[in-house]
Amino acid sequence: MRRTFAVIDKITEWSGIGISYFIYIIVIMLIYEVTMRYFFNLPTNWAHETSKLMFGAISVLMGAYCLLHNQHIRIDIVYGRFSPRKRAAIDLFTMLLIFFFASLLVIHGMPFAIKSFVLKETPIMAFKPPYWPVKACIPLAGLMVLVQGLAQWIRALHLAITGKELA
Amino acid sequence: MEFWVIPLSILFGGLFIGLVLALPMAFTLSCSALIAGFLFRGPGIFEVAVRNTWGPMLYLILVAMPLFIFLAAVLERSGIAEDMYSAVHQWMGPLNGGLAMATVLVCTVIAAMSGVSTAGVVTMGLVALPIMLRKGYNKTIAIGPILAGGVLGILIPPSVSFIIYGMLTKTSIGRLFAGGIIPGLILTTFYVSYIGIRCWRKPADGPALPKEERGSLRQKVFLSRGLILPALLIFGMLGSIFAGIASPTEAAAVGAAGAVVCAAIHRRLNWQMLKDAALRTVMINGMIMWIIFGAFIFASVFIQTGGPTVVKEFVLGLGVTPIFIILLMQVTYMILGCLVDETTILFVTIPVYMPILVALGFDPVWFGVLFIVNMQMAYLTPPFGFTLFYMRGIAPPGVTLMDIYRSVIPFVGLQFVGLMLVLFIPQLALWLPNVVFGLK
Repeated sequence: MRRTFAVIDKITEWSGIGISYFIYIIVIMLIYEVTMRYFFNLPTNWAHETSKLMFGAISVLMGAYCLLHNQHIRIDIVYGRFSPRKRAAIDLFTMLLIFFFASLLVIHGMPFAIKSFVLKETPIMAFKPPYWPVKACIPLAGLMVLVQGLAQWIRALHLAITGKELA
Repeated sequence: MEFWVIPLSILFGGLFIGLVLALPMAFTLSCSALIAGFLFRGPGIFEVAVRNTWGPMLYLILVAMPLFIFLAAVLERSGIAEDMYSAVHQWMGPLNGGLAMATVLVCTVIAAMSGVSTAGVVTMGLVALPIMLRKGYNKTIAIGPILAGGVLGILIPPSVSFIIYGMLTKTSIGRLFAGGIIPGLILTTFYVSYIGIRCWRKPADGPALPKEERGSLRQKVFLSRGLILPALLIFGMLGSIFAGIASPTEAAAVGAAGAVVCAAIHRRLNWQMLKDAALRTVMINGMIMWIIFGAFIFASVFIQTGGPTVVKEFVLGLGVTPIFIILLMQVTYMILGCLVDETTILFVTIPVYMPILVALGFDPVWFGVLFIVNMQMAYLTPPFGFTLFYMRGIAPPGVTLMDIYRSVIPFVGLQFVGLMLVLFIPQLALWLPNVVFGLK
């Protein structure tokens, strides 16, 4: 089981590193757009739309990474006063809500993306990138949160029962 | 009992559970909305989860957010802050409290380059704090200016907070940016004057640099070259927004590239540093965006319950003066600011407040500036003042959390005075946007 968890953590970790490269691409695209428009009077018709879609994808896909690194903003005024073991016990219950939301993203996100694929949905503009790959990121992000969340949940269960961290 | 009472109490009861049990805000907002909506509308509401996640993914203006975060992350690692501080601290050093005043001034410049509060806190916490403590500054006068100066980052443009506010209220980001400048500079003046007066009356709190450590005029001028790059970056970025050459999103991209160039000039640019900055950026961006997903879902269900309309009619029916209503709203922000993060506050209150503001004829730019000035206090007040924990993380040993708490008190007081000034003299926030972009 530990090895499975290590693999899950690794995948989530890599997802974050991979996603971080898109920042450079967005910067370069937008600078290209400004330069072409301002100095050559040749605005592109794709830079804004593409950067928007990339931004959407990288935003939603970071959900699992934030969960792994415990970076989702939480208010721990009360919670922070408990022992790690009690905190783990609380997490066992509250994380069910994370699963609830993530599974909704999977269950309703799948038909959402498939419909977009079937209808060949694009923005109403000169440049027409397909929407479906970005829409498909919603159920994918939900799935990643579910998998990473399950690993965290079992770790919390172990800590709550035995009082020791699962390495 | 009316139809909206039950869903509304579940909605806000859910928030309370998140507050106590520390479920991350992103899921607290989404789940309490979905459960309330389910009881109110049936399972059809679950589709809202996906549609409202998709919505904020497609805002071009939000693309500016990761870019400004990236800019700040590179800036923190670029060595630019050290250079600025070594120049400004030589100019101000001969005054009592001069090093602390220099800190505020450098923080103001950093605020004009970056859109978050952490850039100023992290850089000055690492650069200026050890120097001030070594020179015998009182701990509170050394720490306070870094925190107060750091949170100027969200008021002085560019500002990620203004971007989120502008996106939600459909207000011009350019106008909001322009609106933050004068209140920001007023606060800078307040901080510098406070430090000056306090250290003039009690020099032991912030002794002037001893004569032998003061540089000659020549040296000072030479050191001032460290101010050239920041000045170029600021004028390039804000200038292009205000002149209408580039959108805030494009200006953010140019600024991010500019920060990378600055780091290269300082010979701090390397692959590892860029990788760290990029990874941190997408993580912070993801963390804010997930709150926004949850908040969109929350706001959509909240509006469907009819709660905001009821509150609006109630407030407008009170028959009190409009300015008193604004004052009350600011009080709620002060209370909420102690408990919850800024994005959550914005999304929970704006659906209620905006219709009231529109009905009373107030300018959303002005209200946005008030909100951000108010959030500065929230960043600095425990228990949920996350800049405080940042400071705690980088402060040298010997600085306790209590020192940090005590150090911000006078500055929070000054921020409150600033808030009241902008509240009673709206032109402080509205004059500049009207000059730059013309009257609406």
